[in-house]
Amino acid sequence: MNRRLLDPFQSVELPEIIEEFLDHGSAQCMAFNRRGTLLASGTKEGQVVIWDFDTRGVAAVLNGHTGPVSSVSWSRNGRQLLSGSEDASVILWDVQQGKQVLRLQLGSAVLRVSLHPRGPPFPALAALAEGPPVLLDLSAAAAAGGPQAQGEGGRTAVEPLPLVPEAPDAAPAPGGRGRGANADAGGAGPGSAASGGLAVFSKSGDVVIGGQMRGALTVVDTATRRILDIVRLPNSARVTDLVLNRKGDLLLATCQDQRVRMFELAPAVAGRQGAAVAAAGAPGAGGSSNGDGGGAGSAPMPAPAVQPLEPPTDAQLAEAVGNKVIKSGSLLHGESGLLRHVRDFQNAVERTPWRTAAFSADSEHVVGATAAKSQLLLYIWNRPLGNMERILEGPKEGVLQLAWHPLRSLLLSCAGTGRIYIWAKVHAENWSAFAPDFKELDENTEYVEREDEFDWNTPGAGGELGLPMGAAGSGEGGTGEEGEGVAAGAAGGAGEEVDVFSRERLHYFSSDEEDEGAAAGDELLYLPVVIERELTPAAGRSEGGEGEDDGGDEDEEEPPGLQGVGGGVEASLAAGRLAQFPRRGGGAGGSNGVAAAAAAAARGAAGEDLSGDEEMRDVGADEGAEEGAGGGAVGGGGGGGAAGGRKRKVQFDEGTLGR
Amino acid sequence: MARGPGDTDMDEASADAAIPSSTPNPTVAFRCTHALSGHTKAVAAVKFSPDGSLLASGSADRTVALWDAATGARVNTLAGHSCGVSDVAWNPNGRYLATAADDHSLKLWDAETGACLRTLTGHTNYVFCCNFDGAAGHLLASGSFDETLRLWDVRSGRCLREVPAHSDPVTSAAFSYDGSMVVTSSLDGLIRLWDTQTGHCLKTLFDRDSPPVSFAAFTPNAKYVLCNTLDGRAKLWDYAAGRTRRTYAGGHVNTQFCISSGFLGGSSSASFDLGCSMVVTGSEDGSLAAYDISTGHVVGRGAAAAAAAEGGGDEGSAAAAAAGGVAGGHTAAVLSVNVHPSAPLVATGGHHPDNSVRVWAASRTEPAAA
Repeated sequence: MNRRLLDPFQSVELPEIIEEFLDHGSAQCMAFNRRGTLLASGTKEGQVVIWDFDTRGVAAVLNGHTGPVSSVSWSRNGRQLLSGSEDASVILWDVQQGKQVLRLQLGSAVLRVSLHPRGPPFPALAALAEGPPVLLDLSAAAAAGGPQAQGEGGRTAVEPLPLVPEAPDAAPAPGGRGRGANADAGGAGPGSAASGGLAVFSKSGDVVIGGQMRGALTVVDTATRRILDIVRLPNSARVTDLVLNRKGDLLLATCQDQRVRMFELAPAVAGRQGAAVAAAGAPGAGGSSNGDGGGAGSAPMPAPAVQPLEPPTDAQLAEAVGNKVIKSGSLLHGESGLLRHVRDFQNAVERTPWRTAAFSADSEHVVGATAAKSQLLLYIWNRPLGNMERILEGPKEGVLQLAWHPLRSLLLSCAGTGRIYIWAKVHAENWSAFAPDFKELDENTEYVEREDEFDWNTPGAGGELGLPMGAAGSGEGGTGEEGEGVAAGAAGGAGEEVDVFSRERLHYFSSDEEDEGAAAGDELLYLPVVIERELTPAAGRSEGGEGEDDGGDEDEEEPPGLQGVGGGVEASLAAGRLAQFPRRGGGAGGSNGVAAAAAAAARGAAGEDLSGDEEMRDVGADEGAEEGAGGGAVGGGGGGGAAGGRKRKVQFDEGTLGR
Repeated sequence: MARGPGDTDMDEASADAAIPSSTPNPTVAFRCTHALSGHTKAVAAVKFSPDGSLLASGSADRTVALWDAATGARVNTLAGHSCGVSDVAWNPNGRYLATAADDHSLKLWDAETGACLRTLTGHTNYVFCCNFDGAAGHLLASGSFDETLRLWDVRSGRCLREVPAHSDPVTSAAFSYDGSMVVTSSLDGLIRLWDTQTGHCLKTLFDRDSPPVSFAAFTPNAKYVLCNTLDGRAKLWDYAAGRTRRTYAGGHVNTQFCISSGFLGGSSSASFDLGCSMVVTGSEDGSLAAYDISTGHVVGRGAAAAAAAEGGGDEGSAAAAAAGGVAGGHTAAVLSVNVHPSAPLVATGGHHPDNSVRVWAASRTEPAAA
């Protein structure tokens, strides 16, 4: 609802500073749900933490993994969450109930999981430390008898993905290994070409895009497991990260040769949305997906433009793989490949290695994080133009993962120390919001006063201040109508009906973000609030009020012991929430010192050193101070300034106040 | 209730109202079904629970009473505040209750057991108003005489944000239904809209003569903001355009107290039809007034005790009595009005010395022939 009042440019402005950080366990990975209301993070301690992103508080903690959680993935409706861990298990969670739906034990440590975007029933992908990525049939696994199901039963629950084609004549595959990965469920042996490969679902989930250890991306049909295309990368660069944008028509592959490569997905691969966009004649043109796309609404797309994908025959594949001429690009489709290379993002001067990359919410920007362990450097590039626009520098902690809020201009970076930093734009106060008769000018304008404007007694002037009539209204856009509007309303409004009840559907995404209506109904956006009874200090307080005779049915005594755990959580929370960075200047220093100490204490055994905090202080001090001072002054000043002239005494009976 | 009590009230109460409503015959009758007594001081706030089964009333006698909305039986009493309670609010699933009190604190209660779960401290003056966000119930907004708006994380009890919102006491703080905005009103004459997530001011609404604003809330669809001002009017603001769409005056008196209002009828969940959707507000003469939202006419009244007695022989009161209504209305100003979420019921809280909570049933009447 606030959209109408927000500055439309606010959501596309780039983050500038660390606004806050989340600290609960040592986060290693994270993911937003579709609307960005909940954030899931996986910790080194094996927990999955669900954050209520509006309050930045912990909404739930899911325990189940015995090793560090390496990846989390939301279902589209936000009701299920898949987590993968280095203990070689994946767990499907019912988020609302906080329970495990399914647990699968795989052959080796799980590096990355990806849940089918259109489930249920869910297939899922898991990239493993050893062996090729596997396709998990979660519904089959569930049918096969729950938690420990491992490929038995009628169907195979775990199936390795053939990223490297089976080549009987032992022609060297791009990965350097001829024998395919179509081995048995145990997966190919260690050292296999596809070992350690990554895989992600396309937006529709119809195809899987896999990144091989060395030098190629493979497009695989999810249903038939047939290879549709292989795209060779220059320098045989290893792919360390794969990420799609929200519309699903662009792919970022972070490669080990100091480049982040962007590919455009052919409509057939991008899925229905891509097809729709292509049909509209604007492929990849509109990144500003928050605007209204076509007028198609949520009507089912006929997708006429999409050619059915013809999987190549084995012979074609073998021939293509054996092709040594093509150094880069599609081996099967040439220029019209399923993945079209668009651009590289890199730091050509310093040859910075990249750890991971992400798209901004509107896909207009690409952000890359450097791979250095003791450096938090985020490069933000303009996606269509390719130029670098901003470098964000944070505490010297390294980056594990990036996530851009799906709707807002907020960038999250998961640091090596296990904190999640929230990068935001420095807020510039909108003064005209505080006082409607305040107009913000972009540049100086010369004001020509009327002859009698500042005369003491002006006949016909508006009010005792001698301001000209209508001056008060001149700030707002539609000044002219304002007066008339009031008059019309006052006259009893012979006009149209005023409907205060019926709600319009709120659009959070563009209309080409299809079937939102269907999904919106059962989307899980928030976890129910459970309030634990608080600790004792307040009980003492309430005792004072207990003198009242009415309170017969009350028992204010806090049950001791009940809060042991909750209290601990809360303490660490409070420490983690410390939102503001230490500010320059004596006054704030004290409290921040205390808070920093608390934060350190809360993490206790984790062995995190205070130096992290110190460094952060250096880095964040400037911005923090500016932001804080600005914000404070603004609030107070604005309130006072706007209302100062109109203050008046009001007879206010104490009864209303309840005294 | 054809004519009679309503007219007497209006004549004596609001002769000076700038915009006299051209009142056709009232078409909605309010019949007092329950008079709930028990509070020993003024009742500052009444709120139906989200499922409509309970009614909470907060009073200057420092307690909050929970009443069975159907029978009027007192279910529970929440005691713990050391000063009077100014506002109560239910969280969206009806499990918890928040109270704002003059002891500078807010408390969160378990509605079922009546246990105080948490005390939220931080305000430096009387806390005057509070509301949960309607979508998730994880945020609580409170407004105080310390002129700030505070947003609280309900789970942890932490204050997420303190906004120096106004230059006079904040008289109400309410969320839009999707939780993305908060509206605050203040005696400084301004209504401000805030972005929940960032705490930034989005818009300020005020009139040229800016009378103190005693109450503001979003309409159920959050397209407009309804406010009450201490010049005896209620206004419907189109906040996006920054102008008033409708003004409601003539049916109620309001110059001193912060009286809340509610919306009755027309909701999709409502299984009744009163002919129009209404703004229901309280009056300092002890009555209840209902305005047609679109036309601004007074379409119904719940009479004050004096007026009801006076017009005892009147056909309207007779009808009310015949229908089993409890005789009489409030004997003092109506401080709080709340509309039942699904039934045509309105709850009101009376000022000292009335101290009662009353439940009114609204029903459609055939307009009497002229």
